[in-house]
Amino acid sequence: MIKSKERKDRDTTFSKPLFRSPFYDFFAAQETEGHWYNWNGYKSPTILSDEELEYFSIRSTCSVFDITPLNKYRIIGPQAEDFLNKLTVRDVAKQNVATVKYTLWCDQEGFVIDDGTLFRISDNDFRLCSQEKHLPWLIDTSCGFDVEIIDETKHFCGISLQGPTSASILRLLGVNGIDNLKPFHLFQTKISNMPIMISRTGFTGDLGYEIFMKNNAANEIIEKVWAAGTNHGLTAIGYNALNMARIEAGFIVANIDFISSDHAIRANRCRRPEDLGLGWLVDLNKGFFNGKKAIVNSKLANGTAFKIYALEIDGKEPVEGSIIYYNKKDEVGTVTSAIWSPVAKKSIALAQLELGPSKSILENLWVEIYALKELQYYKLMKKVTIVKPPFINLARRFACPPVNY
Amino acid sequence: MEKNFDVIVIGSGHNGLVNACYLQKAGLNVLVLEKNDWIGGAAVSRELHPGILYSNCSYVCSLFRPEIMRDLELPKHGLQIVAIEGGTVFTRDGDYLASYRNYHAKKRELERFSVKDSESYSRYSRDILKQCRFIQPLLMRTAPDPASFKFRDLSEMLYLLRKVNDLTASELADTVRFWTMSISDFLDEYFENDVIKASLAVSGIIGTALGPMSPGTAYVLLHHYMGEVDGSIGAWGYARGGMGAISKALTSSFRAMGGTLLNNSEVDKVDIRGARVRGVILKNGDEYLAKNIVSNADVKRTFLKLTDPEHLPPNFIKKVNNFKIRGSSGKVNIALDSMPKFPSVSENNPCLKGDIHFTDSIERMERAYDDWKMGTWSRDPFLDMMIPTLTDPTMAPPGKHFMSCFVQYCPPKVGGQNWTKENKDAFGETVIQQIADYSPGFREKILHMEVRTPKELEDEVGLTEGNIFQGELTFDQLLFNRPIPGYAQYRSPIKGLYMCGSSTHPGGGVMGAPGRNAAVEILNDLNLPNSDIRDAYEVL
Amino acid sequence: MKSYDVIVIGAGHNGLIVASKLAASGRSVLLLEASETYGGMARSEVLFEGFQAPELASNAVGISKDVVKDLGLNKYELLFNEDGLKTVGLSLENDSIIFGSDFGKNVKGIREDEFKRWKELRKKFFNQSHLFQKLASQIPVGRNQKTFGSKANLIVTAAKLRLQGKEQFQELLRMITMCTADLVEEELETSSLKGLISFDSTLGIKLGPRSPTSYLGLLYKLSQMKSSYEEKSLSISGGVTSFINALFKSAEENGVDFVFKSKVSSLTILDSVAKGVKLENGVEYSAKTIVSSISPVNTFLDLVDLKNLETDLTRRIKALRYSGNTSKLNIILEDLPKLNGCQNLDTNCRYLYAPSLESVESNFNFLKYNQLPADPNFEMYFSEITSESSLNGAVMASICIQNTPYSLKDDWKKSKEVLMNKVISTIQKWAPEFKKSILYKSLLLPHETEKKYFVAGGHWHHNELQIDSLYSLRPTFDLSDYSTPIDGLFICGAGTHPGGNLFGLSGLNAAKKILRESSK
Repeated sequence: MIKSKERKDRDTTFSKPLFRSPFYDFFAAQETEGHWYNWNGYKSPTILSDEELEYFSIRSTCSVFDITPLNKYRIIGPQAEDFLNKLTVRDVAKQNVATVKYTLWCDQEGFVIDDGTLFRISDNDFRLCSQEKHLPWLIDTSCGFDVEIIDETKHFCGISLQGPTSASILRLLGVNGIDNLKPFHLFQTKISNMPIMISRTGFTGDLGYEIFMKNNAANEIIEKVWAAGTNHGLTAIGYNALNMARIEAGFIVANIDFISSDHAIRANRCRRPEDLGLGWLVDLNKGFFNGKKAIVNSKLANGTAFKIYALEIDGKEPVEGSIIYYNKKDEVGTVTSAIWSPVAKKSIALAQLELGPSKSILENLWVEIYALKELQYYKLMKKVTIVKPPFINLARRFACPPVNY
Repeated sequence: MEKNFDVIVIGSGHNGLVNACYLQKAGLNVLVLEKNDWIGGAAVSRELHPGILYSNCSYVCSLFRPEIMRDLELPKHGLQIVAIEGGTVFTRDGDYLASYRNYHAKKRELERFSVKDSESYSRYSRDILKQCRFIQPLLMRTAPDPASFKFRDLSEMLYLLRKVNDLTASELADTVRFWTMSISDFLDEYFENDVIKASLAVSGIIGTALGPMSPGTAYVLLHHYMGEVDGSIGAWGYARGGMGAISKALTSSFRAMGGTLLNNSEVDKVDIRGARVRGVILKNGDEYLAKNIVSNADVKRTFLKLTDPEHLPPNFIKKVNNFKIRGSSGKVNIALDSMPKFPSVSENNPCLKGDIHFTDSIERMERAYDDWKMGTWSRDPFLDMMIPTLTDPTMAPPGKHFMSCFVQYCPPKVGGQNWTKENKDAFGETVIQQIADYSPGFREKILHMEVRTPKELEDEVGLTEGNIFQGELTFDQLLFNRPIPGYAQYRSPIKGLYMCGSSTHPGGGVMGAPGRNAAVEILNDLNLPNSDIRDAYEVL
Repeated sequence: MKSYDVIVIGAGHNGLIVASKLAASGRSVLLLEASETYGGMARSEVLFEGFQAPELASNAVGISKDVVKDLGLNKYELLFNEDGLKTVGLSLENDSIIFGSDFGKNVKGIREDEFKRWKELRKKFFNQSHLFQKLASQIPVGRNQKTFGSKANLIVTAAKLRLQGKEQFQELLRMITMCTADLVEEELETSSLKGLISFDSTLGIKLGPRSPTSYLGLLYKLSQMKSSYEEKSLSISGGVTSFINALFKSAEENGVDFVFKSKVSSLTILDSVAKGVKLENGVEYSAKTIVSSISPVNTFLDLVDLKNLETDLTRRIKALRYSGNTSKLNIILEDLPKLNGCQNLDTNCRYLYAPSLESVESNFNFLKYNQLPADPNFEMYFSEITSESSLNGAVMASICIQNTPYSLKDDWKKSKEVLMNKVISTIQKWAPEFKKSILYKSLLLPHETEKKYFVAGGHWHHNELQIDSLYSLRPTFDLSDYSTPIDGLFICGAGTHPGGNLFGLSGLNAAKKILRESSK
C-alpha cells in the first residue's frame, strides 16, 4: 500500500495557477476595471483604472508598475564575467560595477533568443533580467565555468517608478545618492532599514528608477513609496500604459516585435541582432560568444532579411497588425506594435519589413489600415515614413542630477 | 431485400463507416456489413452492466480529423466531444505529477519536480510541434509509391521532396533524428526528472509493441500529439456517451444519406471471379453483389481469411504474412459503485478527470515491455486509466462510475499458448492490485469487471492478434510501406477489392483518415468526382 | 614553442592514417599520443609475463581497401586471414552450426531447405549493404556545405537504387529500419543461426535483436566486409598488430614526428581558431591544423575550453550516447582446448556463444538496467603464442563479452569475478578441459577501458553507432563533415562517419577533407 505524501502547496497549482506578486494586494486595491492578464505566470494588471490617465502619469507625474514577474537570474562566481561574455553579445569586461547594460543573447545561428538588462552588482555578482525564462539555457551555457546561477524570480520583487517626479519621490523617501545616480547606474541603499537596489533604468524612455528588494520588504516599501508620492501625482499603472510609453521610446519586446529563437516554430521567423536594429550591441572584438560566427558570416552575405523599423504614419488611425506595402501593392512586412502617440501627436509603429538596400523602396511605402467605425471598416492606404527611434526624445531622461519637479 | 450494391464495406468500424459515408455521399449505393450485433468495431459504447455504458475498446478521442467531422456533419448527427481537463501520474512515494490544461498550472506542477525541466518543457513542446507540422499534412494524402514511375506518384514524391526541401539543413537533421530515436533518448535530451520523463513517454508507447527504449518510439509520440497542431481546440476529448457516440453519429450520417447497414452479418468470403470481385458471401449463406468491396478489416484478416489464396500472388500472401500486427495491450473495464478514493490527490483536483497512470519511471515501463517480449503479460503493467463518467454523466447513473483501464503490455498468447481462464483472471488481478495500491477500498467498489486480452479483441472486434492499430507503427510499416510496399494506396491485387482500415496509411487511432483516403482512391478509380471530400486543412 | 603544419592527437589507427596521409602531402606533422606506444585501442600491451598482444582488438572484420591502397600498406606485410574466417555457433542443446567464411556462404549444421532460405536472405543482406558501402567513403553532407548539390546527390543515389529493380528497392525501403529479429523470424527456423545473426547485428551497439533498426548494425558489418581489402579480415594471430605496425611505418616513412607519453590537456584557441595544443607536462606546440582522433566527447568536453563552444553544440555533445557496452576477457591457456565430442578447436575460427535470438535479447535487457547479463553472449578467438616470452607455446583466448554495462547498479568489485566466471563456465560446458588449463586471465570492463585508453565511456565506437548517429548525424550534424566550428580543428576518430572497428575510413575521409580545405 502506498502511503500518501504530506500535502504541501500542490493544490494551489491548479486552483490558483497564476502567482501573486508581493505587491498584488496593493495593486488589486487600486484596481477598478478588472483587467488582468498573465505575465510570465503572474496575475498582472493590464489596466487599473483608466489607461489614458495611467499613461499620462508616466509622462507628466510618476507611475508605479510592478516588475516582479520579470525573470531575475543571479549569476555569481569567479568566472561570472567570462560566462556572461560567452552568453551575451556585449563585452561584459567593459561594464563597470554598479552599472546596468541592455544586452541580448543568441543561439549558434546568431538568432536572438531574448534581450534583457544586466546589472553588475559587484565584480563577480550579476543580475540578469529578461522577459522570457532561460534557466536551462543559462545552466547549459555555464557548463565549464565556475559560476552559480540562481533563479531569483520568486524571491526578489521589484517596482518601477517612471515619470518626471520619480526622482523627487525618492528624495522625499530620504534616498541619498539619487542626485548622483546617472542613467544605467545602480546603487544599494535602504528605505526604512530595508535593503534595496535602485537603478536608473526603465522601459518608458523617461526619467525613472527600478527598485529591487526581497519579498519580505515589499509591503513596507510600497506603502512608503505610495505615501511619498501622494503630492507628486504617483499613479499605479497596468501594462497598457507602459506599453504605450515603450513604443514611444522605440523599445522592442520579445515575442511581440520579434520571435525568440527559443520559441520559433518556423525557422524563417528567427532574427539576428542586426535585424532588430541592435547590431550596435554586438561586440565582435571580444572573444568567443554564442552566435558570433554566424553573425560574422551573415554580415558577409548581404541578404534582404526582415528587419525591424520605426515608422511614422500619416493620419491619426492606429495601425496595429497592418500590412505594409511597397508601391501600394507588394507586401513587404507587418506592423508588430503601434499606437497613436499622445505626446508626439502622431501615429507611430514598429514593423518588421523585408526591404532591399534600394533607397527608392524606402520612399514608397504604404500601410493598409482597416479603421473600424461603428461596425464599418474604412480601408485606408497611408504613407509610411521610416524614422530613427525613439519617437520621442526627452532631455530629462538623461539629465544628471535629475530636475526636481 | 435488395442484393445489388455499388459498394460493399466489410466491417462497421469508424474507418469503414467514414469510407461508406463518403462513397454514399458521392452518389453510390453502399452496403455496410457488420458481424456483431452492435455497430462501431472498436469505437463502441456498450451497456455491459445495467445502466452503465462502457467504452470497452477505444476510450478517448484525440485524432479524429476535423475535416471529416465537418464533411459528414457529425455534430449535427449528435457527436459531442468534451475536452479533457488533466491527467496524472501517481508516484510510488505517495505524491503525484498532474498535468493540467492550464499551461501555467501545468508548468507549476512540473516545477514541483524540477524547475529546469519545467522550463525545458517549452523547448520540448516547440520541437514536437515542429515535427507535427511537418507530418500532419501527410495524413490526409495517399502515400506516393516511391518505386513507381507513374505521373501521380512522381508528383506526390515531388510534393514530399519539396516539403523536405522547405526545412533548413539542421531542421532536416533534427527531423531524421526524431523519426528514428527512442522516446527515452529523446526525453533525456530535455529532461532530468524521471517522473516527468515517464509521464511524457506514455504517448510514445501506447498501442505499440515497443518499449520506451526502442528506436522509433519518438515518432509514435507524434501520432498521439497530432491533434494539437496550431492549437485546434477540442482535439483531445471524451465523446459524450462514450466512444460509441462516434459510431452512432457516423451511422446516423450514413443512413441519412440513404446508405444500408446490416448487423449480425458476418462475411465469410469475398466472391472473386476472374480476378475481379463480384460480391460477398456471408456466414449464413446470404450473398450480396457489388463491383467494389472495401474491407475495414486488417490486412491479414482481409487477405488470409476473407479472400481465397488462389486469387492472390504468392509473393503478396507472403508479404501479408510478414506484416507485423502484434497485440500488445489489453483492457480492464470496470463499473464502480462510487468514485474510488485516491488519498494523494485532493478531491476537487481536476487531474483525476484525465488519464491516470501509475508508472513513474521509464525503467518500469521498459520492464513491463520485457515481460511482453518474453511472452507474458507485464507483472508491473503500465496502465492508462480513465474515468469518463467524471466528465460525462450520461454514461452511468449518478454516483456510479465507469472506469476504463488500458493495460500494456499484454500478449496475444501466453508463452505461446492460448489464453486460459486462469491466465485471464490473473491478468485482471494484476491490474486491480496496481490500482488498489494507490486507492484503498478500491476492490469493494467494483460492481462489474470486464477483462479483455488481445484474444477477446480479436474474437469480438476482429482485430488480428488484438493489435489496436491494425499493425505496428514502425517505419517499415508507415507511409508507402503500409501495409504492403506497392499496395499502400488502398488497392489490392484484386480488381475492385480495397482496404480502408487502420492497416493502411496513416494508421491507427480513431482518426478516420484511412477511410477517407480510401474513398478518394475508389472514387478516382470509378471516375466519379470527389469534390465533396475536403482536403486537409492547411497548416500555415 | 615548436610549430608544425599539422598536429594529430591520438595515435589510434585513424590518427595514424590522417598523420601519414597529411605528411605524404608534404606537411610537417606531429602525432601526440598519451600512452607509451601507438595503436590506440588496437595497441599491443604486455599482458602476462612479458607476453605482448593487443588487449582489446582481437580480430577485425577488415580494413578498408581504400586505406590499404591509398597509403600503399601492401608493402608492409599485412597479415590477412587467407582462408577466410569461419564462425562456429556453439549451442548446448543441438549441434553447433558452422558458418562458412564470407558471412555464411556455406553453412553446416542446418537443414537443406533452411539453407536455401538463408541463401536468399543473405543475398538480400549483401545487396542492401551495398548502399552503405557507397556512403562509407563519402564525406557526409554537413552544415557547411551548399545543400543543393548534396541533396541532388542523395536523390541520384535513390534513383540509382530504384533502377536496380522495383522489388529490391521496395524491400530495401521496408527492411532498412527493421529489427533483426523480425527479418530472421520471417525466414529462418534454426535457433542458433538466428542467434548468430542477432549477435552480429548488435555486438558493440546498445540494441537488442528486437529493437527496431538493429538490422542496420548487420548491414553496417556486411558493408565493411565487402569494402575491406580483398574482402578479407585480418588474421587472428598478429593481424591487428601487423596493420598497426604498417600504419606506423607508413607514417614514419612519410616523416611524421611522434611524441609518446604526451597527453594533451587542452587546445589553444584564439577567437574560434585553433592555434596549438598544450600538454599535461606543460609543453606547447603550435599548428595551423589540429586533427583529433580521440572521441568527440573527449575532444570537446576535455580539450576545448567550453568558453569557445556554442551552447547548442555543448548540449548535443552531452546528449551523445557513449557508454561502452562490451568487455574483453583475455585468457592464457596451457593448450588449445578440445571441444566436447567435436573437432579440435581451431585457431582460425570465431567461436560464438549466442544460442538463440532470445538469449541475445534477454541479455540486452540486463544492459538496459545496468545489470550483469544472466548468461552472457560472447565471441572468442584462439591463437597460439609464438613470441619469445615464457608463454611460448601457450594459447591465448580472446573473448568479447556482449552487453556489459558501463556502470553497474551493484558494485563492480564483486561482479567482475562473477561475470568472468559466467563466461568461463559456459565455455567449460563444451570444452571440459578449459578451466583446468587456464594460466592467466584478465577482464577489461568498459569503465576500465575508459581509463586505460582515454576513451569517454570506454565505447568501442566512441559513441553509439545507431541510426540516429550515422552519416550526416555522426557524431552530430554540426560536426559531420570532419570540420568543427573551431577553425583549424578537425575530428577523425571512430565517432565520425563511418567509424567502426579498424575500418580506417574515418581517418582517410578526414584527411581528404583537410587536404581539400586547408592550404599548407
